[in-house]
Amino acid sequence: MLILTRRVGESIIIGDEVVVTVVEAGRDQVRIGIDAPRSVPVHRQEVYAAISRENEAAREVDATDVLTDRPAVPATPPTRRR
Amino acid sequence: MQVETTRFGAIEVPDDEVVTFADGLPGFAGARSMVLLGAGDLAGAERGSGHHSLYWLQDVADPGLAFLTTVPWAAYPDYDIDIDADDLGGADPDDLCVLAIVTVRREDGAVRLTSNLLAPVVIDTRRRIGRQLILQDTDWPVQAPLADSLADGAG
Repeated sequence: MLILTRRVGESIIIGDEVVVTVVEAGRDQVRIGIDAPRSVPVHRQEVYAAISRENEAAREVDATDVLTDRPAVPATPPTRRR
Repeated sequence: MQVETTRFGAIEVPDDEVVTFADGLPGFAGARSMVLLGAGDLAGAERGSGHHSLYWLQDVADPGLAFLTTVPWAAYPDYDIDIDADDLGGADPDDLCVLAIVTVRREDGAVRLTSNLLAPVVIDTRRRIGRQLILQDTDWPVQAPLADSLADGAG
């Protein structure tokens, strides 16, 4: 792992487009600002891991007894209401 | 095209109904081409009150990979999320549909269904582009109760 020392207000750049700035530093936590294109997802690691775990649990679903109909045909859900 | 599924066998799906997930889904980076299949309703749900619209999000390449999803507004009328159209490359908001992935857990003979409201699947139905967003700065749960105690499969 690359480890860099930065002061508050200083940044690092990752690739051409992602800039990570130390906004505030305290005793046990730091506030970090991230400038990245919308196409680059940025998440807290533990949140991303929780979503991955939930997706993993969801793909195992055995739903034969909780659904009324046998599915078969392609279908498009309604678009967003608001 | 013919889509092979372990749950429902081979299903004919028009090519233009395939939804492209450029990044896959968290934990499933390879799930890049998916189709939506109608999945009917929950057993025991009363139409008009507990009526849920369910869809399978089926991977085209992996017959065994499918996610049960629900249109969240029916079960969670207060669900209100702020989607930036740029998250899907500048989509028209009117073209977007939102689905929550449903997890079915079986504990001691009971069935517990939950919906992932923190990470909705958003699909641009016109351009057929999809992405599972992870909402920032909200308290929507990863496991929102959808229906409890359907163990007897009433209905």
